[in-house]
Amino acid sequence: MSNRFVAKASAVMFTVVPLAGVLAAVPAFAQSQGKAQTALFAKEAAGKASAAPRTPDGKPDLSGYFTTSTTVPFERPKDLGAKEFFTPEEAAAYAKRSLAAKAPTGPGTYADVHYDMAQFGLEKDQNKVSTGIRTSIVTGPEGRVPPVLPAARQRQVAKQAANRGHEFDGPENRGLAEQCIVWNGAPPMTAGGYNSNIQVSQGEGYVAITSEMIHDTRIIPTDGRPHVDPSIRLLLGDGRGHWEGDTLVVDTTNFSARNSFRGSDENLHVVERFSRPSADTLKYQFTVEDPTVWDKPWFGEMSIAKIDGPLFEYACTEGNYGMRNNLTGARADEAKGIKPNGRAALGE
Amino acid sequence: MQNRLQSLSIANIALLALIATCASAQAPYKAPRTADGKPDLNGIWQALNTADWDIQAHAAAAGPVFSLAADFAIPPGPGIVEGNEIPYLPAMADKHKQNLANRFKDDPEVKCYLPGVPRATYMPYPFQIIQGQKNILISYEYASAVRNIDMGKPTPAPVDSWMGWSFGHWEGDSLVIDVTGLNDKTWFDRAGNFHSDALHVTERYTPRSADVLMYEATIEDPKTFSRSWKISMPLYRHVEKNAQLLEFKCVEFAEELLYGAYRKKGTGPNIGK
Amino acid sequence: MKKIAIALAATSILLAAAPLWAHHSFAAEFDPQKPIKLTGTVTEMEWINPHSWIHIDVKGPDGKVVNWMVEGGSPNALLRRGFTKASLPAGSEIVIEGYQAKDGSNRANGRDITFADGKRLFLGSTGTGSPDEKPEK
Repeated sequence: MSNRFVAKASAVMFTVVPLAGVLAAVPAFAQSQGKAQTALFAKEAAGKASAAPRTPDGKPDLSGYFTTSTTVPFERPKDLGAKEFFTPEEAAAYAKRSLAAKAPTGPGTYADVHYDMAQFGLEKDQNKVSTGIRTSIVTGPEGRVPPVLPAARQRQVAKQAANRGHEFDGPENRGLAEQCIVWNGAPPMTAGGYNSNIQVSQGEGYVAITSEMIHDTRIIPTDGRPHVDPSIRLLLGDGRGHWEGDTLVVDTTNFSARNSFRGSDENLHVVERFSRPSADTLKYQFTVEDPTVWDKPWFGEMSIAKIDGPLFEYACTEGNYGMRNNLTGARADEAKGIKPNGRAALGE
Repeated sequence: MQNRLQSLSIANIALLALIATCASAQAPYKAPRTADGKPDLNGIWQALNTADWDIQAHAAAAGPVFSLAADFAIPPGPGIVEGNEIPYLPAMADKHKQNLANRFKDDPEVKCYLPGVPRATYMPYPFQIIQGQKNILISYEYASAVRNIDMGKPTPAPVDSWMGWSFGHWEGDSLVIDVTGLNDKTWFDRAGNFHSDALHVTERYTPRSADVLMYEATIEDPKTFSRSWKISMPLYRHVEKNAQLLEFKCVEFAEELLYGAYRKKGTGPNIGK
Repeated sequence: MKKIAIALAATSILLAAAPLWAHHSFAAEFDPQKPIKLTGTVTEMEWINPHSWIHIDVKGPDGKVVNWMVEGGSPNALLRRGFTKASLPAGSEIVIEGYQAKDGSNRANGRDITFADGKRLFLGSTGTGSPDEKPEK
């Protein structure tokens, strides 16, 4: 069956937006630390406005259905070193191999105890993906999430140690996704294992982004209002948007520490930039910072590909037989004197 | 002659003024338009009634938790059902009685399950309408429930779902939404009023004034009811500055109830930590 | 030069590719030491999330019919391809190979599900160009 690529060279051509206001939007911290990225935004901004379609009230039309699934890995494979871009041929070869790679399995192995993803159409190569010539979504010379500050690392290690041996004690030990509390609806947007689909809706003064997995919707006002009170922590954070030419800039704060992104804590601050270089593509850039976790902000960029809609309902807790079954399975193991499968905690 | 003409003119003016007053009193409210010329329903809305407790007329009553006493007693309400009668088929009346008797265990809302349509509209939480051209999104604060209202040509629902399969169109100033594909697992309220998977709901959202919508929903379900019936209520705009939906992610509040029996002995719940 | 670059890319993939089932470990629920093969008649398919569930009546060696529950994948990708709740009607004869639940109940993980004639239930494996694979919408 043919692989469904969105192999767009435009994935690496920059949307040009009017210059005014671009630098102001970049967090002050990033202006000193992310000079290269700031220069990149400015370079993109110079030049004529894009011919993006408009909503009736004159805003760029970002609405529609899209997938965040991509062949570009989140972090750069270590053996690629400082190589930030493939040639188009290398990118195509990498994408092909990445889609074909499947976890090895065999009878009686843990990996074999799984429904056949392909039979349900859930394999990455059975669905639309975006591609690109970047070697990683994380941009810059390292292309990897920066190391975590020592104090933050200590907190993470302590948390992991506290859960070790308790992975199946109760539902709270299973992680937010398995508990059906939240999946990947919080910014920055990254693909999950499957159903990595979003719907962007636009109404007067608002942009909404609905994620298919557990039907989460981020509602982003663009009227310049302040964030909610700091005492309110939200699993999806609190988003505020404004337009810079044809780019929607979204600033999100007030995160709950429980929905950690790559180690982030409650001081997570995400700035995203959305634009639409073509009818079939969104260009998506993000800045991640959390001063108690990383000593500097880090950046990401990817293409998001248009798909046919609609999203299908992913009601989760309503059908979560698996949570009960995991716990009863663990109790059955314990009754036999077997430690419940510790490998599960690592995400098998 | 001139005096008579003058007095006739004055009379005419008075008559015209009277006619104009009557006409404006009877003319329906015309909502402001969006940029594409449709009635503008954008905003944050909420019902102000006790229909979630019981969609029929009901007096106040003691609540289910003794120690919460007046804090969690059942408030009264005049009901939202037109004619106050829910026409269950004779065979279905017993199921309603059974639901009512077991409601604080069997109501799907207890488990933070999605509320379905029309219950989502009158849950005691705000919801937001984001009105695009090809779609209207209705995002509910309760359990992050969300509905996409497709403004195109209706198609059949491929599966049943909790929040249904919705298509919308305009009739004058009213947004009319046709909802099919609803599963049989939701209730209409906490009083055990229920339906089958044959449920078909037709909603109408009609602007009544700048900050009020009139909501009506016609319920058809030949497997449960002997005829169609209707609910109606106003929906009020949240006019406070910077109104927004927050998160009521109640799944974790129901977790111990759902899974507490299967946890390892000696461990305890960890709600919200 | 190009060949080296592509070879590097290949290495990178092996390092980067990781199973993405991090949300749910089936080895906690189902026993890798208890493989099972069930042949039965579908009584109901629940087209739900996070996993679909197929209920089948299985006639045991003693002639008694027992209802089993078999776990499948999220149905959303099938729905995107035009499958509907009518696509696996009650009465369909199916064969399931998988692993049995750890707690001894009549539940299994449906690793391979086929019709009685061997045809795959929904989609073929990737790359086989299976005839019963429907085009994605």
